[in-house]
Amino acid sequence: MKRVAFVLLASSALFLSCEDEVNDPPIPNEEEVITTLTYTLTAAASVHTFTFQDLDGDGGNAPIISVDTITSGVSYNGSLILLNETENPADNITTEIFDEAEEHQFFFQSSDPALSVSYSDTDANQQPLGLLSELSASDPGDYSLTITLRHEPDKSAAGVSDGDIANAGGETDIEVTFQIHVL
Amino acid sequence: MAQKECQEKLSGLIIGQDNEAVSDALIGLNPGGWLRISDAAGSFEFDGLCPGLYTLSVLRLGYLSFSREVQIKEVDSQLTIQLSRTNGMLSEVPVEKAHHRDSSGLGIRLSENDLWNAPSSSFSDQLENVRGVSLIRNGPGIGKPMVHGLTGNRLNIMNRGVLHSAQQWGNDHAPELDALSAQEIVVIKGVGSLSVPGASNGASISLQATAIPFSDRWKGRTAYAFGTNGRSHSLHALLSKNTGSWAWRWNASFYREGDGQAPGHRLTNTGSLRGSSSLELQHHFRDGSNLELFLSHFQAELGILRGAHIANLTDLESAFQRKEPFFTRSEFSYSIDAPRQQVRHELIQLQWKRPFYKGSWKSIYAFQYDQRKEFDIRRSGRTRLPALKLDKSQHFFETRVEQEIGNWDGTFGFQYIRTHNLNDPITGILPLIPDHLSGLWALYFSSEHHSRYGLIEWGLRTEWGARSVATIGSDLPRTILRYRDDLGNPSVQIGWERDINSKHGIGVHLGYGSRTPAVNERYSFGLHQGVASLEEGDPLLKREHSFKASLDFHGSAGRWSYDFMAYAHWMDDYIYLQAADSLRLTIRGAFPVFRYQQTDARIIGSDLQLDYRLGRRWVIRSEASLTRGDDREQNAPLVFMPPVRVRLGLEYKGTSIGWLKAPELELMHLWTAEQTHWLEGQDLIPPPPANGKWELRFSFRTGSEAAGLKWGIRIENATNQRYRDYLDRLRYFSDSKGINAVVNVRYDF
Repeated sequence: MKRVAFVLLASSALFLSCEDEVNDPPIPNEEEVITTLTYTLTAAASVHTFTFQDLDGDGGNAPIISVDTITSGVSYNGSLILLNETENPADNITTEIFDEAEEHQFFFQSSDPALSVSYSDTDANQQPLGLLSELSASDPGDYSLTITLRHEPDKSAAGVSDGDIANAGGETDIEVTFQIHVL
Repeated sequence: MAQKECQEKLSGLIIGQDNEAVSDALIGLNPGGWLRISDAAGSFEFDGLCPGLYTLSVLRLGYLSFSREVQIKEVDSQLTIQLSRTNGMLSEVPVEKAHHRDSSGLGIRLSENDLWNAPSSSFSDQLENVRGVSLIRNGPGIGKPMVHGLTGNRLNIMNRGVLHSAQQWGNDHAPELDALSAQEIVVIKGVGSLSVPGASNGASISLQATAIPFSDRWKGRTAYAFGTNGRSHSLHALLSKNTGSWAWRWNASFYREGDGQAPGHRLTNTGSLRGSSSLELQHHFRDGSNLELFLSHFQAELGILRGAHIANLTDLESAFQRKEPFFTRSEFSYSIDAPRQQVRHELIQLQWKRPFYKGSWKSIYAFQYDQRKEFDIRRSGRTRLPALKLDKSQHFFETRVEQEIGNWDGTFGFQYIRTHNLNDPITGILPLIPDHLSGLWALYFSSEHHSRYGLIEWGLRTEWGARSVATIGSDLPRTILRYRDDLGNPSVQIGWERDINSKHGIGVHLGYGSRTPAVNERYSFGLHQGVASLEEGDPLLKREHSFKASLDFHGSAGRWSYDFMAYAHWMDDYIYLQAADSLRLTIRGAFPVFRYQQTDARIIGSDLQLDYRLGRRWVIRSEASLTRGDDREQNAPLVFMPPVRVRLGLEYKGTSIGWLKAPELELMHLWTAEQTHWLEGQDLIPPPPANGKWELRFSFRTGSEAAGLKWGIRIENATNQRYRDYLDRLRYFSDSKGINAVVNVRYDF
């Protein structure tokens, strides 16, 4: 019995003595993060880029958004590039989307039908993906364009393959809005 | 105290295995050598008793003798004792029914029999049957108890005298416990809660063990249950042996459930899988001391409704528009995919108790390890990596001396708790709550005194210690910020209970305690999946102070018995999540930001119970729980408080009809009001309307007593009512579960 008491007392003394600090936590490698989206519009020799960049993630500083001016009546080829710039060199997330094309789809929502976007690429099931697109504006003016990337959308739901997001479901990986000035 | 002033009463009913009255049983009560013989109706009564601890023994030819300890307090006690026939094969452990009120601190308890009557229910589902307890749900498989509007960091759970160590801060974190590893679950309030670490001025839940029944051969019990909703199967086993000097008890449970079914659609990915086992080993020494080892393992895999996995505010708004959740599949499945939780909990406990002066001296050491992994749907095969992984380990040491001197009971205890909570960087995501290490010391003292003015209880507890926290800052490059929190907090409890006359009693309780903000309240930072919000802690939060008062009337008059309890809880610097005014723009869209803030709050409420006995076989039961929370500073409601709940029941205990032995029938109506105490803008969508559900329970025994089976049938939501529950976080996305018929069969040997 005395031995039991001794063991209990000794063990209590042991953990009484170590009142210390927690170790430095290891910083996780945030390889899944998307920090930057660039939408590039090209027609003949002109190149226009629209960029949304948020390097420090959900908190901290506000994102930096840069936009450009395009011309009405011109059909532009659009391409999207996604980067993780917390890594050095930056990680190209576009390939992850491309490799999982069936599980992803971009949606382009314009503030006015005068600015329209159509898909130029498809996944293995002949459903749209949206890394490549075609944009044109029929009239000059100011428009806003929201680009959304959905993970695991229901591509067979009504209207989804035509770019209607309403029935798509899934979860949003990207949702950015650009103001587009059309001359 | 003079003998003539003792006027406590103990009455009861002796019944056999088929609920038949047992007359001519000899009932002894010691010390004092009181003797009574049960009448033709099986009832007996002792009066003129002094408060204190007695041993009640029952002898009757043809039945096994029975004995148990009874605490006689200032309030009448009522017992129902079930005897087993002496055919060598015990089929029923004697159970105590009726409301047996202990010291003022103890609230309502679930007995071993209650627990085994619904063996497949999770720990939280079992507690839902206790008055004053509501459940915060996160779909069918995940529930977290809430007592009088308090939960999470404000509600501690004790498992055999040891603080249950887990990630309590999360609303979607169900306690990692198997109810069947305990023999009794009690909601403790008042002075009794002083041995519970942390500020549990509210209440705490305690899982308790009873003595292992004395038997030279292995005794046991096994049960199987099947539920139609989710096609659940569960298997439970219990084995025990007590030779006097050595005692063993082993239990194991296994539970599997697939996708649940709401009245209109399937609840895709709401299956769950649970497995647990515990082993208890005791050695009783000749000098009266006792050494006990308890080992337990618990693990679970819990699916979360697939359609509840959303990313930003746009997704949430489109989910609100849906009649049935996104990703609802028509076919049933047992598979559990992301989003899901995987939890594991281990406990090793060593307890040593020896007689000491006029009482006992007890020491406990326990080590707990808790692992929580949460999986989300992610890109490029990362779904298999947890999005949150926390490993928590805790050393718990306590030594306490209990003394009983005359009419006075006293307890003095010391505790040391060392907790280490670490994130695993495998997630590839910045952790929601930071790594921390804490050391907490505590001293407590409580005293109970039985006098002619009633039972007077009071107690003090003081805690001191520190918590070291290391957070990863949100700036680039990532830096580590260190904080140190002071864990010093006092608490005081006072209680008084007395009889107004021989039939009615009154109790008053007052309590004060303070609480250091929890780690999530001060330091959490990140996205909370499922509610599409960014959660931000505030390192500058101050201590929360709480003052609680309650008043209780209870008693019986003729066929009526009642228990009316009202409480008021004032909390200064009450910590809560408040939506910030602006949305935060991220590359994934806009998110509302919720920050932990402080205000002065008040929670008032009442638990009411009124029973009416119709003859010896029928009882009408009614219960109501009311809770209302207010922000005293801004004169606004507190959100996420339970709405008014009413439970009406009709109970029948019958005699055997042919092969149908000891039938019991219970019909219940559970009504939950609409939560109307809220303001526009406090919630994303309005609270769901009121709902009423019917529940039917039927149990009976078949076969001989020696080798009989005990059957139970329970039909939950019997009318397949379509409803949403205000405290269910999935109400944003889907309806609650529809009709569920559970059949269970139990064999005791």
